[in-house]
Amino acid sequence: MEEFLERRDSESKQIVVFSLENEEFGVPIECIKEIRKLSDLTITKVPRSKKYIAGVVNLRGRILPVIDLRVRFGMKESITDASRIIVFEVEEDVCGAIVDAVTEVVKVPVDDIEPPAGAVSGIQRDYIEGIAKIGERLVVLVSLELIAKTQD
Amino acid sequence: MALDFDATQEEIQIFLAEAKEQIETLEEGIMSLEQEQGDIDAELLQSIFRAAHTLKGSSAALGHVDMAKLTHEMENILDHLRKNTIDITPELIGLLLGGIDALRIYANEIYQGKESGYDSSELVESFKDFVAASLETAKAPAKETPAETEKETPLELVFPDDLKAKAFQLAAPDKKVFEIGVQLETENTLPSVRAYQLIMLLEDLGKLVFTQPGLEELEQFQDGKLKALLVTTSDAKTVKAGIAKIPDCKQIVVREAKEVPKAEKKTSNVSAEVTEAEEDEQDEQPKDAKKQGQILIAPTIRVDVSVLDDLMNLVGELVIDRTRLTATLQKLQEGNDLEAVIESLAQTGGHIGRVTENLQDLIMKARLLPMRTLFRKFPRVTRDLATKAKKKIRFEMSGEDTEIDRSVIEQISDPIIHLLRNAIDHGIEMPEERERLGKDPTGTISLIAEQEESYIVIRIKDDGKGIDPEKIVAMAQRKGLITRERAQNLTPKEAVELIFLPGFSTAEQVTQVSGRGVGMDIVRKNIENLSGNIQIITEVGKGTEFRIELPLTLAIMRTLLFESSNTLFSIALSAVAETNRVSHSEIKYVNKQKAMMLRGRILPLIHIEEIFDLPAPEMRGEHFYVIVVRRQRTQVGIIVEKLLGEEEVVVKTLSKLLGDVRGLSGATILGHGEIAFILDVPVLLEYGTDGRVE
Repeated sequence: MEEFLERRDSESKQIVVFSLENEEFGVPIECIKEIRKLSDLTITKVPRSKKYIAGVVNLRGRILPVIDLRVRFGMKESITDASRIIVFEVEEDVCGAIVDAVTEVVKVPVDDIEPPAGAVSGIQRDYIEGIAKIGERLVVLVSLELIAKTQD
Repeated sequence: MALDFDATQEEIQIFLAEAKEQIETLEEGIMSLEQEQGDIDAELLQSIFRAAHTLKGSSAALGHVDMAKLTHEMENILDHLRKNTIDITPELIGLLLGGIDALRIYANEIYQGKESGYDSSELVESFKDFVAASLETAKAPAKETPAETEKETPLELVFPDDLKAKAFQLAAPDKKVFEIGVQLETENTLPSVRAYQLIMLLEDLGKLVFTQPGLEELEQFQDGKLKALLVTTSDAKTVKAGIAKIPDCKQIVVREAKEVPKAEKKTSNVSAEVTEAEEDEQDEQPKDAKKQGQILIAPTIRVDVSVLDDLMNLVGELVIDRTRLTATLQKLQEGNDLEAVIESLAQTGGHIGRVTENLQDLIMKARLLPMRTLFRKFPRVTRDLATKAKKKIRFEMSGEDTEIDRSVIEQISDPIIHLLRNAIDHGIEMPEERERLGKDPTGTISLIAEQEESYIVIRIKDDGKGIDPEKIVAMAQRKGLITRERAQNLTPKEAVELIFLPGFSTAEQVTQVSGRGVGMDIVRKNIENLSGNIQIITEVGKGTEFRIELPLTLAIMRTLLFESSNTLFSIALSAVAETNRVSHSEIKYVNKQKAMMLRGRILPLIHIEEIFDLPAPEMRGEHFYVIVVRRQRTQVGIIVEKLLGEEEVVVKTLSKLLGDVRGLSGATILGHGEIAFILDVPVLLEYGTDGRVE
């Protein structure tokens, strides 16, 4: 498998895989600026903001909004030691998203990525960019940018 | 085509900075010449002449031949004026102003490093004609000179040959190459958005070989002139019809390109083309020329050398502090006595504090610009608008020396222009009407800037017909903006403020200049984005005053910090009248609203938690604090748990991704990295009263 991926290097995507509840999600690595331990940052709640906005954090003097992806996807709030904040760019803004854990970075051949088919566990289809097959596992590729930009 | 000069980038920058000043001197001077008709100030003339002369020299040195030619003619006329061999006439003023617009186009060309396609040779000719005609009639009023200046640069479609050749290479037998030119509306709209739509549309129609502006230049796109080369199977009509669907296209030219084109401007202009330009839009063109010039706000700033020296000295002090800190660290490592280390740290800390405070002051000062930089363009703007609206207007300005942060200046320009336009279009009556009302047929519009504490106040005042609250209410109801119930309960002040509602436009008839979708709601929004506020003071028959209050600076603010429901807040100290420690028993209820007596006046009270839907704290203590927020006659008391004292904070905006965070104007990071939210004063004041409740 490893060798196979190596050979098709140009036609594969590097995906950062993270988990939410028992499901696996992925985002292309180029969309991510950095990943921080949640416990390293203090989240300040923003009055009157949406439920799925966990609050804002001070990241090196910049105030970033942080989205709780669990809440955004209609799951139960849960923060553990493994929780991470994925920091990504949205147009000129920078935003963070809380996930249960960041598990790995994998190269996935483009051929193994299928277009989205229907909604996945209550996540709006618009946010899903595809489903990546990694061996036996299915990883839902999402667009963090769209998730952050769309306000509902 | 790219403009190449035998000059370094820095030389070009210097040229541009100077050109900008000289063009402004020229424009201001010519405007005052017009006002002082007959009574010519020799000194003023001399200074205008000098500006034209310098500009001629520097543009020639840079190698911009057309610009040098044009300034030469302007200088020539000014020289005649100086020598009193020709008279000042409205034609002459118009001609000179046209020259200034052209100079701006050229300066902009140089700024962008690209030819604009503008050709001033016609203008140069009319200058020559004017001088000749005036000298002929020797001091008699100048003959009717065709007001060539009022003609705008036509959409010139000149494309570099290599691009055309490329296009023809792509064109298969069934495909044609079209040269496309579109003049977009630039008033009140964002030409860049329309241009983007256009480019997207053209890309759908065929292969787009070239566009000017290109996609990456769209942000700077302001003149509304878009050129493109398109290879397509569609015919000219289809392409044109497609373009016409995009709003704000004033003029559309689509013509088939000729193969092996001769690079002769004249012929390409005359070629068969489908030109569509509505009549009344022709006379809007000069304004576009001016718009072109507006890009010339160089991203650089002139700073007094002494300020730089002071900055350097302060930085030097900081370097010393750094050395001291290293030394202190060494002492600690060596295990020297703690007392001495503490002493040294305290000293260094104090010193750093003083130095950074000075640094901050200086940088703030360096960022300040006099209002003049903004105001200087308004006499011209009002003159043009008044002429167009056929109204007689005297325009007065004061307080040009008031200084304000650079970023504010850049953003307040459009709201002021909009308000001036409103005053001209809807405020001032037609001359006959004014006469009938026993008013001076010439209306007066004043633009006043002044500093009030830490606010800059800008007032735009007219002596026109004022705003009739009843008419406003009726209009708002007709447009379905408010319910009848609400309409009945409005005070006159509230009624007038309905004009700030989105979708409201008071003009019975949408005039050419104002009221094109961009309304007062945008004006208010822009001002609130600057943490400012706008108020209307109006009297039917007497006139209207718009009062804009803006913070002196956006970056750093003195605030009062407090805490409630485990959330840190800060509020601009300038809005805080006083703070009081109050006990529960002092709260009264007036119309079910909390209030207290403060020196004989009723002060409405509101819990900070109520404003932000925060969980109510268990107010165990018998006492709490009331922050009295006051602006003019409006006041409100905010009930908070704990006051934390004054603090100077660096204001950061809150990300748009947070959605609507009404009531918060930003956030800041405190000493230990905590985030505090900055309260939006105008929103707080909505909970207050203007002292009517007694």
